[in-house]
Amino acid sequence: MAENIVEIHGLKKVYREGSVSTEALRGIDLSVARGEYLGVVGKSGAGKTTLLNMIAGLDSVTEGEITVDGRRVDKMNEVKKAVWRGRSVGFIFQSFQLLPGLSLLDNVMLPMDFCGKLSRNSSEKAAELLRMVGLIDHIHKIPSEISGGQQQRVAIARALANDPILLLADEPTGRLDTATSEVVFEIFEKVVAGGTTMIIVSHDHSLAERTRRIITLADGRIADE
Amino acid sequence: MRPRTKKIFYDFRSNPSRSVLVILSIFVGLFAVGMIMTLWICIPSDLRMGYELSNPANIYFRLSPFDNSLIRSVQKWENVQDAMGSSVATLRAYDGSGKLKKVVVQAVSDDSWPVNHIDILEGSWPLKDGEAAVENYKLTDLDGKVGKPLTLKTSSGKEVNVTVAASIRDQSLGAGDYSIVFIEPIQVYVHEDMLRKLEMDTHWNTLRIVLKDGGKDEQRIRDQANIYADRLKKAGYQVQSIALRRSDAHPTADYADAIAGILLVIGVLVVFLSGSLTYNTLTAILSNQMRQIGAMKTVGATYAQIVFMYMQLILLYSLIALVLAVPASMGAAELCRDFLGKNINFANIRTGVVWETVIVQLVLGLVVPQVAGAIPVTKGAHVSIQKAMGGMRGTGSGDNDRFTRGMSRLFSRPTALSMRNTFRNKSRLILTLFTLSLGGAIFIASFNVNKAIDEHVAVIARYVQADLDLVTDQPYRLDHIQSILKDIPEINYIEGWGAGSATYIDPDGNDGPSMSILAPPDGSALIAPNVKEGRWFEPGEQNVITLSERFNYTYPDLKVGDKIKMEVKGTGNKTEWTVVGFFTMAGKSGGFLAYMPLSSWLHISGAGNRLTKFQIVTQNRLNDERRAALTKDVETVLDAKGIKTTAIQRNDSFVSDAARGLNIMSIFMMIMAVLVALVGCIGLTGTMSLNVMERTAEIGILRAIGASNRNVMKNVLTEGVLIGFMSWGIGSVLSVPVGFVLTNSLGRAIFGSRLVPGYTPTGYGLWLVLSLVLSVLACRAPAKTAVDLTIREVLSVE
Ligand SMILES: Nc1ncnc2c1ncn2[C@@H]1O[C@H](COP(=O)(O)OP(=O)(O)O)[C@@H](O)[C@H]1O
Ligand SMILES: [Mg+2]
Repeated sequence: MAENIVEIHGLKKVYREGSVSTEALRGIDLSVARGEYLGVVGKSGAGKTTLLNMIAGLDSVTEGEITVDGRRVDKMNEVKKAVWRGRSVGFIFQSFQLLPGLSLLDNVMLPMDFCGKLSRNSSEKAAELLRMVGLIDHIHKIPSEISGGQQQRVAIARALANDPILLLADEPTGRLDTATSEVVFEIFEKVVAGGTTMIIVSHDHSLAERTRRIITLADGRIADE
Repeated sequence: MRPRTKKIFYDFRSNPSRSVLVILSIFVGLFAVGMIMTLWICIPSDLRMGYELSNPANIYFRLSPFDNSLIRSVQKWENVQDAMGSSVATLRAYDGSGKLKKVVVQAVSDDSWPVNHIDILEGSWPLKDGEAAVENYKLTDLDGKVGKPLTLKTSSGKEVNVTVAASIRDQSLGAGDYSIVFIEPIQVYVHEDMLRKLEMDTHWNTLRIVLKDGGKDEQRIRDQANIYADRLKKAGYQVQSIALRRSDAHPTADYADAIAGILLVIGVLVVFLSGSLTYNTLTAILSNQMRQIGAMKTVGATYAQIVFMYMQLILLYSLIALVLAVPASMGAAELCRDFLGKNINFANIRTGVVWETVIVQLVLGLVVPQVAGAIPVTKGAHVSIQKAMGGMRGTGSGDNDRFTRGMSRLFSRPTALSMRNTFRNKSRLILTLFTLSLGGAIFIASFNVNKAIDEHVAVIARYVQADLDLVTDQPYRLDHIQSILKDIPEINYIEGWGAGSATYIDPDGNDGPSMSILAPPDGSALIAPNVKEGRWFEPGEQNVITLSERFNYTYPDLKVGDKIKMEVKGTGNKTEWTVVGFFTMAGKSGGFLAYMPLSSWLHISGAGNRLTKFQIVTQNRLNDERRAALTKDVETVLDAKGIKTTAIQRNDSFVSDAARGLNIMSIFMMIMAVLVALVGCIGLTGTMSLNVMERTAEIGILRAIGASNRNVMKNVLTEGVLIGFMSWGIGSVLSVPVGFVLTNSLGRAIFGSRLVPGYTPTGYGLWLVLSLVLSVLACRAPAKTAVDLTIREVLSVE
């Protein structure tokens, strides 16, 4: 077992749109150790989301290598990537992205369903995760019936559904007020304490300061460590 | 239930209007295909099978009087399956309003009708003395009803009352004289005991023979008929006419073929229509699912899993559409079959579920939506998560802005803006336009085909332009008739026409079919023929003849310039004629009809310069009532001078009879037009409202930056009207080839030649109004919903 869960070498990403191309990442080298709690900060447009997407295999790499848990993400095909992502990575968006028609319980069970991990205990496990994020009383509600902060907690429970080794969060509190954000971070700390590696992206320095290690992105490069 | 299955059901429930649209798109296609295919399968087979089941005669002999002993011996002849004698005479009967109508009365001895079985539709059978059965097709022409009395007028003028005891279907109508049900007079059937009362010959005059081993070989029927004819002549009978018909040749089969041809064209087009409609609606649904697809992929859904989920959703739509469409199309097809059966005289033989159709519906219903959905589904499932989550990034390229600027020069700014919206999604627009235009094209084409039919009916009318057609039982000189009728003030002038029948002698020298001959005087203003090939005869020409399209069809080798032989009835002389042209009249299934100059007719008729047919032209603007009165007056005046009239008929009734079959085609085209309009309107409404639904967010933004609700509505409606108008324009252009194909297949089936395409503003106008009104209505509802939402709600809509 490799010591570092994430290894990135010379990562570049160029977006091409017609004749316009944007260099979002201009050569990133980064290692994240197992169990680490990493914060990525930087101004809007610095390339934070792009970096996170690259690690989760949500978009293709232009140049460079990404190894996660010993596997080359940049070399996987789409199907392998999907299965791997479902089993190994949890991802949290700024805008929650719960499925509107499904109950909170079903939303949390959805990753198990896609990864073929659905079993008789699934709903108990999902309920357990929802209890962990403090929503055990709402499990049969649908997302539009709860607040934004609660939705983000469901999204966290969903990200944890398949016991990922890596949890990624892109501006998870960007749409939440300070008090609610506090609750979310408390949950993250619980998760990290349980041994899961976590990377949080935020443009807000004060929140990312709660992490144990911080890197700053500027203009597609790591500016500060 | 697993979460992803729940999601499928949620997608299905969450936006009912969208789900209803998809289901409707699939439904209309399946409905139309089901109905069209059922008709396509059943009508030709109903016709052929139903006719064969009636044990139809292959040979009809019109003979000098004979009795049952001849029938008994004919039954023993080689290759004879069945033989039947009947007595057929033309009499007249009073209709409900006291007008005299020509009727053909038939009497047979055997209650079981061994040949040309009839179906009892209503009433009692067998007939008793004093009872009559009336053929259903023209029962209404007599204002007759089962149970009502009917007054027949014998040839001597005696009136005989009978009761209409039954209404029956006789599919062989027209078979005995190369004619079709539409042109045939009203048919009355009586028991043989009635013959004496009706002053008809108590002997038989018509012999019908069914050949063994199903007479489906025309040559064999002809050969047998020649052998039998010789034998009958040797036995001392006069053979007045011969008619031959295959056992599978229902007299109106041409019409069924025409209908089948049209059904096929429209059916194929409707499948395309429904397919593109379904594609449109599914694309709209999928484009609203992008973020959810992104979210599912993020949590580990594979491409295949996502595709499969949406396939299941589509399957759900398909199943619902199928459950509705299968029975609905069956019902509609049944109604259509009943209507057509009544009107082109066939029986619904095939009953129960038409499984071929159901299977095709199942296959189409399950496959077409999946195929239509394949493109948007795979596209959606393939989209990278980053793009799916990115949402609206990168819309509004420079290209469109240039477009807006250009348009702003021509139109007001808001109009230009809504035009930009229209053109924003090019492939979508093309598909929308394609769907709507195709629907419009078929709709408009139906009206144009209808117009072509009407125009041809007008062509038929030009053969008979006199107002009254008087036929006397003996030949008279024209000036004699003129002087008798000169005191009736409504009569403008009278033309005397030669009329008679002849036996066509086929190229092998055998007796062929009986043909009717008409001979208008030189320069007659009462006929304007429609020459299909060659020319009409010139004044003063001798020994020339023009033939109806039926000759072309039965004797394809016959050409303009050929010489033909015939024997005019009652003369015993065979004469030779030069064919100068062929004309088109009521269709290739119409009778053998020939025109020749009057002088030629007088030469051969053997009646000197006396004639039996007089064409009476009345003053203009005689209303119906006065024309009917005139008809009576003419008969009374002639009667007083001892001149018996065989028939005095208004020519417009001949035209309406001859056009009857075509009018059925007309009505049928209208049924198709309504069907297509249904598909088209649903397509229009669906596509338009989806367009607007998709823009809910955009509408929110427009309002957020200060556009008034009125402005937003105006923009949306302008766009709707623009698409409606464009689709109308393209549809109008497309209707030309579609109409051409339809008219052609109709012409080929009924006339054996092209039918001149017709054009009428009705279809164009109706479709323009329909597309504009529906566009506005379809855009209004979703736009209103969008405007009524609060801006926050709109922006939270995906
Ligand atoms: N899909 C895309 N197409 C083109 N350019 C993009 C796309 N996504 C991001 N970018 C560009 O890449 C750069 C980095 O963006 P992003 O990673 O979203 O920054 P951050 O998350 O730090 O705000 C920005 O300049 C942005 O405009
Ligand atoms: Mg970002």
